[in-house]
Amino acid sequence: MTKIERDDIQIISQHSNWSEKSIDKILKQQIYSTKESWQKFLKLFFISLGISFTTAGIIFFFAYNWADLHKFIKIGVIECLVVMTTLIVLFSKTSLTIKNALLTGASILVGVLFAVFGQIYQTGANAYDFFLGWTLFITLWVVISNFVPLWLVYIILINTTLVFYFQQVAYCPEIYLYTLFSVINLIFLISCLLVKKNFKGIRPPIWFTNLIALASVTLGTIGIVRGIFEHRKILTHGDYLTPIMLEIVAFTAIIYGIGIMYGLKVKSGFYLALISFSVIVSISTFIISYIDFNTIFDNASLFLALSLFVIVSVTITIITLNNLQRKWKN
Amino acid sequence: MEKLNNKKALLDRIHLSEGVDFEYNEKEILKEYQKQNENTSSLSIKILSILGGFFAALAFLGFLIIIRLNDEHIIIALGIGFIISAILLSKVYNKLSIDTFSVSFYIIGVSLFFAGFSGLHIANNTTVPLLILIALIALLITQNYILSFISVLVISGSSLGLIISNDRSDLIHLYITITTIVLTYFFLNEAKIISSSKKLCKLYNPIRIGLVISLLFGLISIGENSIMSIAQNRIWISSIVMIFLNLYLVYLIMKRIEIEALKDKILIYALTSLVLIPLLFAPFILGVIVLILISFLVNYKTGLVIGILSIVYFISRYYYDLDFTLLTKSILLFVSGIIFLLLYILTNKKLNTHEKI
Repeated sequence: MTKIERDDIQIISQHSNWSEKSIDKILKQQIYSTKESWQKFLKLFFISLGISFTTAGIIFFFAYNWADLHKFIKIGVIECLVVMTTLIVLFSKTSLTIKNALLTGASILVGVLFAVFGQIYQTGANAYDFFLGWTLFITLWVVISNFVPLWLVYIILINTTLVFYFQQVAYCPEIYLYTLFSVINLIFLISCLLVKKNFKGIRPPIWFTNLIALASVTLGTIGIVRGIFEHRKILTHGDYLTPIMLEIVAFTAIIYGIGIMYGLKVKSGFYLALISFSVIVSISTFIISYIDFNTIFDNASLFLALSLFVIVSVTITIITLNNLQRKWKN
Repeated sequence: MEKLNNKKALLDRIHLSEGVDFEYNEKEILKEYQKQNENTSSLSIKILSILGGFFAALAFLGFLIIIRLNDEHIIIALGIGFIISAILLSKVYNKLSIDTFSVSFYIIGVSLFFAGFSGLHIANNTTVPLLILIALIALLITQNYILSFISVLVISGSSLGLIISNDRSDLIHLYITITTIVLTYFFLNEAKIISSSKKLCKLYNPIRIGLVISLLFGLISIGENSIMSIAQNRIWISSIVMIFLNLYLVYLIMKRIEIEALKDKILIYALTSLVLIPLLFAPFILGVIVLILISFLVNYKTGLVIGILSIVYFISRYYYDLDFTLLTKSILLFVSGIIFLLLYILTNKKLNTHEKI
């Protein structure tokens, strides 16, 4: 027996004399949130608000940097809080989700601990080793809890650590950074998908993998867009073409190729749409980069070309996606 | 084919429970399913066609500026032409593949229409109501998802524009009140609306998402001081409406989760008021709470996700802008955190005992 969905109700209602009362009844019975889902929702709602507000309160308290408070008390208080939360997680009988939420709070407190340490001993708040320490020390919790929001915090932390590392230690040219981080997040995505495929028990939710894919492609696109503008600047200054741009484009093209192949294989319209849009943006940027803003009035045809390109390419993408999705469905 | 058979079974089931009075046009219904099957729109496709349409329109408007098109009458005529072709395109074809074109034409048309009237020095107070009228006519003629969604945004955006251009920032409270009440009515009377007419039924989904975004527009305007200067001492006007709506929603939720004892009800109302009243000067947070509760009530996931993302944003903004020392803020946050944790423990206890009974 197939479950009735909103679409079904709407379509049937349009071509029948289905009464308001019966529709209302079926909506309430089959579509709207049930008593059980409300209970789950309310619990989650309150616990996440509770933990986030309390943690935020603690962060603000230490950000206030109370001069009269002795450093041992400062560090001691946070350490006690971390230990207490962890003990609750270990020994209480609450549900797994709640424990994981508490552990996420504790992971943030570890960051506060490092920050206060940095505050007292003047090691700086944006030093990469501060984030490195934070990342390393919560790794075990992240792996054990395997809680999606905590994984999200973890990935953001790794990204932050690496950004500071490449800026402060490795002195990586900025133009490479975006492409580099696109690749780093792509590695996360691939590991996530591999785990999903090989370990039957672990199922990272689709919004999580899509979010990482979105981050990776966005960074890749920014890399190309910036690359195109820098490259144009060099050209107008009479220099010759830099190989950087070619490297970036080649790299991104390979990644996108793999992405499209994967999207076709797992029948994900999201990956295909995302990559196509990134390509459209990149090509549009290339057209825009030819517009000389000093003699803008001679560039009308470029604007027209851009407009036509966007509308036609988006339409072709949509038609292709639609055909694919139809094929996948049947 | 199997899917269509499932749908037939579904129809039979409804027929059975509805009795002999239930009449339906099976051929039309199956045709509709066929059409839906041919145009499998997903969220990414919708976003793609809106973004694509928007950028193409922008580039085309740039082109028109560069070729120095400055005869207002031609601009207005062109604008009307674009609007009509957008509506006709979506009315005649109503296909996914044509959406980007109609979106683009619609945006170009509306912009040209507005630019032309401004060029003729006609006051915004005449032009903007005309735009609203155009959007309403569009809604009446075509029930295409994306075009209807944009029409709703044109209506709400124009209303906001009218408030800003007349410098009557107090009217934002009226805007927010109307949007929230319409949204609540729309969400809670789903059965009534979709059974009332075929057109309204088709418009239900696009108007619903349009209303959510329109409400966000209003809440952002009242939350961000840079958009319009709102008298801070009268900011509670919107809050009053929101608090009552929230309490009404709590009443509906209690009915849903079958809380009947008077003692429990009073306790819940008291606690809800305790959470809501301190937010009297933050109507934007109250508004998002309405959105979250009502979206969850009718199980509308997009609304819920938008609500949760915006509440994170609005709460952070609120505490960031508060004019207190970090220490006071920290105490405020900590105390609210503890209250929420207590609420959690309370719901846990209450709901579990109810389960046992």
